[in-house]
Amino acid sequence: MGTTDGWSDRRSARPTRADQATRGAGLLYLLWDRLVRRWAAALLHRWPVNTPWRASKRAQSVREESVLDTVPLRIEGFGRRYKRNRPWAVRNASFTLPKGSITALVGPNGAGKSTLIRSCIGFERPDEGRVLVFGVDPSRAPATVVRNVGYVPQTASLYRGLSIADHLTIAAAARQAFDRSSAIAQLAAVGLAPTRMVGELSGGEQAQVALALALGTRSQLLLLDEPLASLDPLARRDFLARLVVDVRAGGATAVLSSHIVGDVEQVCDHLVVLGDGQVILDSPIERAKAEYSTIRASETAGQDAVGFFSGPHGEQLALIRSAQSGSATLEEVVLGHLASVRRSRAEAA
Amino acid sequence: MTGSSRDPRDAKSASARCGSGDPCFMPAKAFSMVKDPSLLAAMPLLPFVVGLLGGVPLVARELEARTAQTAWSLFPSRASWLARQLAPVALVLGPGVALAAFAAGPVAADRAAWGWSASLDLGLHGPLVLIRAFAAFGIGLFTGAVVGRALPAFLLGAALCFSLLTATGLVRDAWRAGLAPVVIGEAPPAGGEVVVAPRSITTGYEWRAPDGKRISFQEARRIATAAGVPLPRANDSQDVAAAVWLDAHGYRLLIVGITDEMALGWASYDAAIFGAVGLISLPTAFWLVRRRRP
Repeated sequence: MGTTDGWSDRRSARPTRADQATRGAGLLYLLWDRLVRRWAAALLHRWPVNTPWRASKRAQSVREESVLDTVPLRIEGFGRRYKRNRPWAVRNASFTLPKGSITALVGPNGAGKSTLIRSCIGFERPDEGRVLVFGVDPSRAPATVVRNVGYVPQTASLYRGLSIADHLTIAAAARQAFDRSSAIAQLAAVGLAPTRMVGELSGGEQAQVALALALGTRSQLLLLDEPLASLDPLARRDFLARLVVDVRAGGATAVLSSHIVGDVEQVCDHLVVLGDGQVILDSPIERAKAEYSTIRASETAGQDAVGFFSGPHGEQLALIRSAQSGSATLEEVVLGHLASVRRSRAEAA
Repeated sequence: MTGSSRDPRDAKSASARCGSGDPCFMPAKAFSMVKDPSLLAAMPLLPFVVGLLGGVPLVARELEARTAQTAWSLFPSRASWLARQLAPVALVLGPGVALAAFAAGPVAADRAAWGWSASLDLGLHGPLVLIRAFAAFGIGLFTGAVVGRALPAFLLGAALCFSLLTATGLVRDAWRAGLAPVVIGEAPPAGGEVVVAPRSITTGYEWRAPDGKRISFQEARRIATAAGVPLPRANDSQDVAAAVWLDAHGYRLLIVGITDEMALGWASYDAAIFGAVGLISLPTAFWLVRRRRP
């Protein structure tokens, strides 16, 4: 009466003791990690916030903030390389962000955008030069800097085993100024209920949660490291709209890194172009567009071309400095400057 | 000549020798049960496994899953973040390990009551287990912060714990060798059974001269050689001829070693070594977390 179908075979293949032990150990670890450790951590984060210890910390924070510089971000000769014998990720970068601006940090992959942004929150230490956030060096006083900065990492790095509400609780425990109700309202506007588990969210939804966390801190400087990369066009538009409304309403300053120029053009008023680890353009967007024009590459005789690049129809274009009002789009300004870096690199080689 | 008839190492064979009708059967069976209890068998590993499992993921998992970026951008102080991570784990694991450590105490006491050297159970019960778990926890936290990935950090932590345990064992043996041995047993005249003091560790043999002076084995052999006792043949490791001559002339064989009280003096050093490792590795892990890239 023996059967040969796969189901019977699977039933007859009983797990060995070793299999059971491995599975048991795995389950025990999962139980420990997900239930005991995470639950205990979440419980601890709900610890009352108005303790005398916290009051003294708050007083210290107020004292520190009273001496902060009014310039949100100043980068002076910043250089960073990850290994001694490797090329510099960023070198000799200097620029200052105007207060209340939304700055686009634009550049190709590997230009050093993330390195620069991470150094502003103390995640990277400069090998040369310095970064000053409200006049404070993040590598010397990271707590003061972190207290005044909201950060959205390149890939949403949230706890997959926790709910959105748990994240808000953690943020509220970490920052006294965290505006939980505003964060909930922002998330509700994009259809995200606090009860949802982060592990169930799409990449775009996770980015929205990360943005809500950063905006909820009511920080005066927001650092957004390519937050648009994982979003679809509609989500991108929503994300940027919420960013602009919140930043303008709070009088904050924001840095938004991206390699998609079209996205940042809608919301940013200042432009920093990074290429080959160096700052190649630092200008208000309107001025940049006004100062440059695009012409055909064959018509550049007698003119000082910044760079040559291919147009949308395959034609060769050149970016030139214009004496009168320029006609270049922001994308053309960026492309022209990046092309100039490529040309100088080729010449050096 | 190697120990008393109550040496627990003979328990299994004694139990096997005693038939079910013999009067020795029940005591031998009872001893077999207390000699190798599963709780004590687990105790050499328990503090290390628990300490590493508790310590490694705290930072390593956060770095591996990149959640540290979010956490460290929210918490102004990484030390306070780590303390918050650490506290619930310590609150759960600390009492758990303490419970097992103190539950193992009576079991070890039962073994000692049967003549088992309590110093052999050092580190298997009581506060030393907690201190070892603390050291392993610190090592786990440290390797997690250095490596930034849970499994490699756990393996590195296990290797470090094993090395620490081995090195501590070597230092302990050297310390024991430096102790002045005391007489823990004396052979009765005419080759009677040697009774060694219970809960003691034999480290060597000496002779007592008729005038009461303790002399070394080599010195006793020189005396026997001077009296004309031939040197032992290559296969006579016990040098029976010299032993017989010395015994006949009033010399007594002494078993020397260290008593339990002396050997238990290592407990404070053991606690100091593992405590120091914990006290160094824990702040180092905090320092690393403060400086590390997420």
